[in-house]
Amino acid sequence: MTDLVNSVNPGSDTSPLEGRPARWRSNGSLLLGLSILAIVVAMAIFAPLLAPYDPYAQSLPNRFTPPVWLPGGGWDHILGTDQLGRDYLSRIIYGSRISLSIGIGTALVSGLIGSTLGICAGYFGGRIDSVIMFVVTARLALPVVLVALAIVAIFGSSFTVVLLTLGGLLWERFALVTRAATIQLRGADFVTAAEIQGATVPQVMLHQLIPNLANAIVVVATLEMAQAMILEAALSFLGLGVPAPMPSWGLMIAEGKAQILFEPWLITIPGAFLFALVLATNLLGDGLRDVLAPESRN
Amino acid sequence: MLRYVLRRFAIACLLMLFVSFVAYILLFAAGDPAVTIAGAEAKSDDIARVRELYGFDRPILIQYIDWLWGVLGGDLGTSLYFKRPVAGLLLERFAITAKLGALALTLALLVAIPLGVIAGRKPNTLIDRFALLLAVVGQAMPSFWFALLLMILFSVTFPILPASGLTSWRSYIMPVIVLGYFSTPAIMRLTRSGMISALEADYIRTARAMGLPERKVLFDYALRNAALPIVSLASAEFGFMLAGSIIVENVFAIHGAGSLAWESIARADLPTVQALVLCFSLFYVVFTMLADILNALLDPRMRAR
Repeated sequence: MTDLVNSVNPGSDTSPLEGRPARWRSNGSLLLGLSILAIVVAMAIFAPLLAPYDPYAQSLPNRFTPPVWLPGGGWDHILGTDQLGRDYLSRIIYGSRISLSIGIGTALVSGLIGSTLGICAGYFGGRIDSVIMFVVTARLALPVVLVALAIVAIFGSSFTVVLLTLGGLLWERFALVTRAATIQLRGADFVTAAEIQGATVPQVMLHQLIPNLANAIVVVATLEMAQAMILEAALSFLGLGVPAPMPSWGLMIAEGKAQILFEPWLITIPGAFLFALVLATNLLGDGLRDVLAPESRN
Repeated sequence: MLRYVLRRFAIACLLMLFVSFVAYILLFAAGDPAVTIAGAEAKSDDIARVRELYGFDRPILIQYIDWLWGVLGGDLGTSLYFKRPVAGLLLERFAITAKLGALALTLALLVAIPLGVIAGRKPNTLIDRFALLLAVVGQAMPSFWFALLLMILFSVTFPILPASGLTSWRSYIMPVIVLGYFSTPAIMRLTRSGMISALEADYIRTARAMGLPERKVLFDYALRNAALPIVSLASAEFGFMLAGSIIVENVFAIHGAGSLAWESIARADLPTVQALVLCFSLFYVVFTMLADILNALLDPRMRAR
C-alpha cells in the first residue's frame, strides 16, 4: 500500500527531472568544454592580476626571448617575448579578452537578428516565410570572409567594426533553427490557447514562443560564438581585424609568421590557445545540445 | 520535372540579382571611389572630374543598372590596379582556385564518406567515438594556423614540401589538405547520421535477411539512400571552399582568386572586389542549384517542394 502511494507521489524519487543532473554530470564533452572555458574566462576577467607585465610594454633589447622550455628561455618570460620584446604570456592573457568579447558580442548581435527573422518566418509562414528564407539563402551565397574583409577595409579596422560585421553576417543558423522550432510550436495547444485568449502577436512570441526556443537558441549561440572567434582571428591574421598593437591571438600569429624559420613558437603558442578556446566552446555547444535539445542532434 | 528545373533556375537568377545589388551597394555606399582613383594628393576639382568621367555623380541605382547591364554582357569593368578588364583577370585566377577547390573537395569526400560509413555502421563504439573526436578537433582548428603548422612541420623542420607558390605537384599537397580538412567534419557527420537512419530501415533488414554481403548492404543499399543530402552539402561546401581560398592562398602565396581578393581589398580596387563577390556567390548559387536538380532527378518526392 505504501509502495503504491509512493509511486504515484510526484514528490518522490520518480520525478521526471530526476535524470537531469545525471545527464549534466555524465556528459564528458560538456564538462571538459565548461572547464577549459572557465579557465579562459578567469584569464580574461583577472588579466590585470595574472599578467606579469604590461602587454604593450616594449623592450627592444629583449626581443625574441624563447619560452622557458626552449634553450635560452627563462622564468622571467615564461612564454618568451615577441618581435618588439613584449611579454608573450601577458599578451596571451589579455588576448583572451578580445576573443571572448568578440565571440559573445557577435553571438548576441547575430542571435538577435537571426532569431527575430526565424521566429517571424516560422510564425507567420506564407509569403513572409518565403521572403525571409530567400534572404537567408542570399546570405549563405555571400562569401563571408571576403565580404567581412571588404566591410572592415571600408569602415576602418576596429574592435567595434569587426564585432558588428561578424554579427551582421553570422545569423543564418539562428534563423534556420528558430524557424524550424517555431513551425513545430505554432500548432501547439498552449499557443492556440493564448491566441484564443486574445494575446497579441508580440505577446505570443515573447511569452509562448521564446521561452520554448531558449534552449535551441543557447545551443546555436555557443556554436556561433566559436565560429566568430575563429573568424576574428582569421581577419586579424589577414591584417583587417582588430588593429595592432591589440593582442589579438590571430594578429599575434600574423606577426609571428615572419619568424617561421627561426621562432616557430611565436605561431604555435597563440594558435594553441585559440584552438583550445574554440574547441572548448564547440564541446560546450555539443554537450548543451545533448542535454537541452537532444532532438536536434545530427 | 521541367517545371521544377525552371522554377529552381528562376530562384537562382533572383538570388544572383539580390546578391549583386547588395554587393554593389555595400562597396559603393561607404567609400568614394573617385577619391581612390584620383589618388591621395588629388585636388578637389580633379576628383570632381574623375567623378564625372566615371559617372559616379549619377544616382546609385542608375549606376547599378548600368554596371549590371555590362556584367550581363560579360563586361565586369576595368581593374583600377591592373588597368585591364576584370573578366580576363578573374578567368586566369579562378583557373588556379577551381583546381585547388576540386582537389580539396575530392580529398574531403574520400576521407569523410568512408569514415562516416564506418562510424555510422556501429554508433557509440570506439571507432565512432574516434571519428567524432576527429570531427570536433577538425572544426576547432583555425585554417590559417593549421596551414602554418603544416608549413613548420613539412617545410621548416623536415624540408620536404615547398612552403609557397605552385611550382610542382608537391606544392599542391599542403594547400589541398588545408582547404579540404575544413569540409571533412561536416560531411563525415552527415554521412554518419544518414547511415544510422538508413540502416534502421526495413529494406536493410530484408537485404541482410537475404544474406547479401555486408559490403553490398552498406555501400549499395544504405549509402545510396544516405547520399542525397551529402550531394547537397558537398556542393554547398564547394562554394564555401572557394571562398575559403582567401586564407589558404594568402598563407601559401598562391596567386589565385583568393589572394586576388585580399590584394584588391588592400588596394581599394573596387571593380575587382565587386566582381569577385559576384563570382564567389555565383559559384555557390549554381552548385546548390545543380545539387537540388540532381536530387529532384533522383528522388521524385523532392520535386513537390
